[in-house]
Amino acid sequence: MPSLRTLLSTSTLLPLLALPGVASEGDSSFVWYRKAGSDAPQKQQDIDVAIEAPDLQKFFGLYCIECHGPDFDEGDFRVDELPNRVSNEFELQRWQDVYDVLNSGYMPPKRETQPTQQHLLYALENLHSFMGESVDHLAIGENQKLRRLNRREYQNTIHDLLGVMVPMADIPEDNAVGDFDTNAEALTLSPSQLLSYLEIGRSTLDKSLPENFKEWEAFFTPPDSVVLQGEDMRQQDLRRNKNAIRNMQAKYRKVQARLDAGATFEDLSKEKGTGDARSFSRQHRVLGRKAFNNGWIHYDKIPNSKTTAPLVPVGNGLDELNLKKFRESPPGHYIMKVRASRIHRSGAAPELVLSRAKGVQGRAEVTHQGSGYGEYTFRIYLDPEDTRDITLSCELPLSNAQTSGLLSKLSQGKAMGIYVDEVELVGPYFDSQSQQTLKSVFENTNPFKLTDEQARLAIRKFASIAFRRQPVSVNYINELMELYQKELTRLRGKRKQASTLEAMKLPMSVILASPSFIYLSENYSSNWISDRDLAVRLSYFLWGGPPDAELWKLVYNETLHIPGVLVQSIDRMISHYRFERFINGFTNQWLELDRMDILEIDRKKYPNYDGFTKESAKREPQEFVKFVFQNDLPLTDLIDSDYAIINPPLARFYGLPEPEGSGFQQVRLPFDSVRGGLLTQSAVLTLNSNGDRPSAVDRGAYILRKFLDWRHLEPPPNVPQLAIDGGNKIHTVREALSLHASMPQCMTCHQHIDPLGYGLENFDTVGKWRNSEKIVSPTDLSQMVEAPIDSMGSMPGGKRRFNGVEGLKTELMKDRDLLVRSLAKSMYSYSLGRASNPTDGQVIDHIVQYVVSRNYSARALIHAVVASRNFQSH
Amino acid sequence: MRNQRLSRRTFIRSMSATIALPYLEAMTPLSAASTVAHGGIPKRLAFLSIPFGVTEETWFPKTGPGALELSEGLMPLLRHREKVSVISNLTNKFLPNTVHSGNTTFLTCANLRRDPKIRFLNSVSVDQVAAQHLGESTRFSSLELSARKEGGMGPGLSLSWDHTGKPMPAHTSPIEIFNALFGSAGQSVEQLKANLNQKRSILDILTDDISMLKRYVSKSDTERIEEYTTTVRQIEQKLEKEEHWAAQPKPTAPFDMPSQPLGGSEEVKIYLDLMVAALQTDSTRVISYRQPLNALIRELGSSLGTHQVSHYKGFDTRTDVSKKKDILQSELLAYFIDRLETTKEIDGSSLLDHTLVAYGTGIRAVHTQKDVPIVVAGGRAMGIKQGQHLVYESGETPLANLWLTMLKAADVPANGFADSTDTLDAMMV
Repeated sequence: MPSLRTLLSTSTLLPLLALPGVASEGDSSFVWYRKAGSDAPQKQQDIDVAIEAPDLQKFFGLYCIECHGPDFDEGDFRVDELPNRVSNEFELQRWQDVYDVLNSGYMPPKRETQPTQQHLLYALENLHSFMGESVDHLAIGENQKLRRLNRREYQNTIHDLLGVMVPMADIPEDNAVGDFDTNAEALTLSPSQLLSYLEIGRSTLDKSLPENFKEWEAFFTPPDSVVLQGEDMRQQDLRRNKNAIRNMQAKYRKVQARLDAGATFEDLSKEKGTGDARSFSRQHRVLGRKAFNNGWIHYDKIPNSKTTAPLVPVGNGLDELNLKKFRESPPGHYIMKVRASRIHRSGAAPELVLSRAKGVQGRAEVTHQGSGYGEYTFRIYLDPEDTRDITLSCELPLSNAQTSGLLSKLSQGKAMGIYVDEVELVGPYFDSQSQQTLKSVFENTNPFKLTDEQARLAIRKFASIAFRRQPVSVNYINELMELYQKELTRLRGKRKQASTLEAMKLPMSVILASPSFIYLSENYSSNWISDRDLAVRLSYFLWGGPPDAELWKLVYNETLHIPGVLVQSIDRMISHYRFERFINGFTNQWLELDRMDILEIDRKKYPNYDGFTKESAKREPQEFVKFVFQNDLPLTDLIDSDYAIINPPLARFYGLPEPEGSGFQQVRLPFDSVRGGLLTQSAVLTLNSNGDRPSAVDRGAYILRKFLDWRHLEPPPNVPQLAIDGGNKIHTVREALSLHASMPQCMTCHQHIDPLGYGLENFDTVGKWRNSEKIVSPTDLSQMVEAPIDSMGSMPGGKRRFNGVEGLKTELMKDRDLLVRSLAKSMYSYSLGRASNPTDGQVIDHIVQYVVSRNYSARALIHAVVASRNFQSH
Repeated sequence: MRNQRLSRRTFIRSMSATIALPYLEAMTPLSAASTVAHGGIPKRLAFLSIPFGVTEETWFPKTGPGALELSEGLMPLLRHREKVSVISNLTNKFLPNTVHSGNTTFLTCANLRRDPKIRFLNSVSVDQVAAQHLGESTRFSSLELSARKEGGMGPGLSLSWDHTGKPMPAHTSPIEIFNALFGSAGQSVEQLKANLNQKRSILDILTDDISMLKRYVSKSDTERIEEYTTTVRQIEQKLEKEEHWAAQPKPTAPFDMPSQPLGGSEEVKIYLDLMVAALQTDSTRVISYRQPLNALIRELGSSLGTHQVSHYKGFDTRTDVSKKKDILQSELLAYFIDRLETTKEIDGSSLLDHTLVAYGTGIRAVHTQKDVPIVVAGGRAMGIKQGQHLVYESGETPLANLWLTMLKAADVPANGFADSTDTLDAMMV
């Protein structure tokens, strides 16, 4: 049987993309661009970037030409001499000037004839879309070839190479320009950045490399397990607290005895030397509270207190368990298994929270009861240099009033909280990839006693792995070797037994700051990219980090570019745990989820929107998108789906059936549920709000960008803002926004934006369903009106009217190819490190057609992006 | 090996000469004391920005042009009325990429889209042009400070952009700034020099890898490779400077090491104190500081986002917060002026008289990007006339004219800056 590769080269037809298990023959819906022996695609230099300017001569003739024409060329500006075709920034600027003066109402001057609403709207609409298009058009660039690793990729790459997670805060910040952090234009390099790469490389090696031969051998042994019994940890806390309480009570009683005997606070404070009676009396009161209203006094009344560590949220540390012992663990990834159950049988389920200092690392809702302990698992990265406390604590989703009653309940033997029976820490799990690095670098040697030859070989191997198999020059290795020898001499001058591995750290850290490491470089020997370059592009696209052994094997066998093999590799990568990095990279940025972090939700208005709900809500769209890709579901599920991917708190928030267990799971939606798809998810609705009220404008603009493939509608500069709800009139959101229609300058965009957003009016700020809107008078806060929600909306341009979220989804479903297109463009731009532009139009068309022909398969989108011409060529 | 290394370095130097990179004369810096002896009290420039714009109705003076009469938003400057001026109606002709990028081109006045192949291309900021000249004889050519990135600032890592238009990273922690200015590495001069030498040989090796890369990447990648080479060269120059200063002990700090940042205006004050300390000890003569806003609004007890506050028009509560934050920002500026004024030079004159401060942002209010808010302070010994409200014709006078005026006031040889057309002569005595 001829190999696929021969088939490709002998076939006269364009070979097709093969899906695993699907015959590719006869499927003409997708063109596999890459043909063995064929020339590389045309480069963009040949493309004419000129763009037709709008024909506004009629408008100019009516309102402008008198002053800015052949008769009077006021301000040296003639509208009849504006360029018809624009091919550079300077020509565009002249049109921009026209747009600006019309937009700001600066022209025509007030004393002259003013354009009719209709005429002005016509001119502005044309100018607006022309400006937007020409920005894209004039920015036609080539594929960026040499791109620096961004922060996220740098962190992942160091981790995959050496198994150490560098804290994000230690990595220099990247400039943010464009939609994605992969945008090559923004990834510049500054002196301090390069210096910190040297420093981070050094400190990472200090952590990652073993200190002695024993450790080196242990490095390859299986992970260890440490078990701590809850009661053992608690006994210490109990003793300490009981002592403290005894002392406090004694101190309090002593003072109280004096008071009873007639002494005043005045007297006592003078004895103490301060003479501040008020502060003395306050201290006394506080001491009394601490000494007598202290949860630890009633500790023994908690049923399983002798055999577990109960966590009861009544303050004084009774709600948390400090896992000091774990802080000394060697650096690496660990799994922490907590055997726990809830103390109280009815009422709100408690949450078990794992934190470093005050930062939450993980949460789980404890559903097991009494002695039927359940196992709750957390992943945690430990590093002995990180001295932050590791604590387990208990949170109850209760109101303030309920919380204040917890202490008296405890004293009656009715504690609410969590039993922690035991905590097991398993690890460290070295990333097998990083383990592999060091194994192969120091293969068959004792790294602490390297010969010069072995050292040279180790340096060369490490450089080759770090450079993702790019060639390394002999000169470079020689110089590193020289550096190593000098360093070894220097170290041994200070300390005779200094090891060769200690001296290796310097040249190795230099490798980690070298251009071949920090740039994603490629080899330009042919037009199509090599298997090596393909593997690197692919892994940075889907894993935000370097290829693994499996991919390198395919590179070595020269088979990765073969369609069947490539598709299989992509599918493997999507199913891999590292695909999480694609979700954190692409999905987060595409959905703009980080905007949630800077939004302050008004907790007075939305008391149920607590920390756990917010965290879960932000996680939901990520879990949802991951589910769609990993299960290869249709992309139309992003518009509407008959399931949701939620955890128990979100289920309660939405009023949906709770999934079993504590994590995110698929839940079938009841027939009459309003949820399903992305738009009804709390995160998406919340991030398009002001934190205190929903924003139909933000929601509408978001739908345009994400679902209908519109360009980001930037508000034009220098247009005065409308005084939306000024004065003392009470407006509903709709009434306020209808003002947009009163000014052509606003209407240009808002006639498309606002009516889309109206479709989601039934969702409040945080995404809960509402049937009416509370409106407070701007002048008299006591005056409040309850107005019913009107969620009639329409698609852009006032076409296709719809009612409410269901109507909106139906309309979006009709335009589903636009969602595919918007996703395709974004994914394409994310993977290539540059914004897509009009010259990519044909490639994007092909990707969309292919996905459509595959019934909107999510994976087909990734397959098609990877198979596309620009992904496959330089 | 040695010879090759030398030749490469020589090559780099000769190349930097042809493309006129900064710092060239920095190879032979004079000590601060001798400069003072030679050229009198040094002239300094400081640039402060705020994110987004101001409440235009209450920030801009109601009268003018003429003697400065402070409006509500600037009232905290009342005690400094004779030492500050407000300049109305300066405009950056080229718009930054979004209407909320207040600080991206504030000090550069660049046309970000002048190269059709690149969507975002900034150019050198005025402080860096000044640093090239004023930075010759100080330990630090310039200092870049910034609050953590937040909305209303726009792309950039600080207010400063280097001579190739790259964003310059900022110090974002007071402790870090303090250590740079006053901390000692606890090393002897010999150790320090040995370290510098090791760093130099590392830089040589890094450049060796570049020559390998050059062999197989495409021609269009040369720009990026050039960037790396430039960066290495900039580090070399930095090391050179460090070496010159190695024997010179760092100045004694005028106050203790600041504790952990407190956030809000207290933290801003620490930055301002550090700026005064840096100027006072002549550690640098050029400073830029990108100030925060979010924490100030929290301090005012409001939970509104900064973006919401910037869209204050027609909303009573937002307008209220917007006005209050203007005043708080002006209070901080007044505090900075206080500190500069009470710090005395050798001859008894105040540091304020020898420091020209510019304060403002690239956004007027909401989405308006012309006629931006500007306050200048100090610099009386540099020929600056204060206590005025200067009013230019709306939208017509480039902001770059102000920057050119400041360069000239600091004796930086410059004929123009960005799209400048002239100096603002009315600013000068």
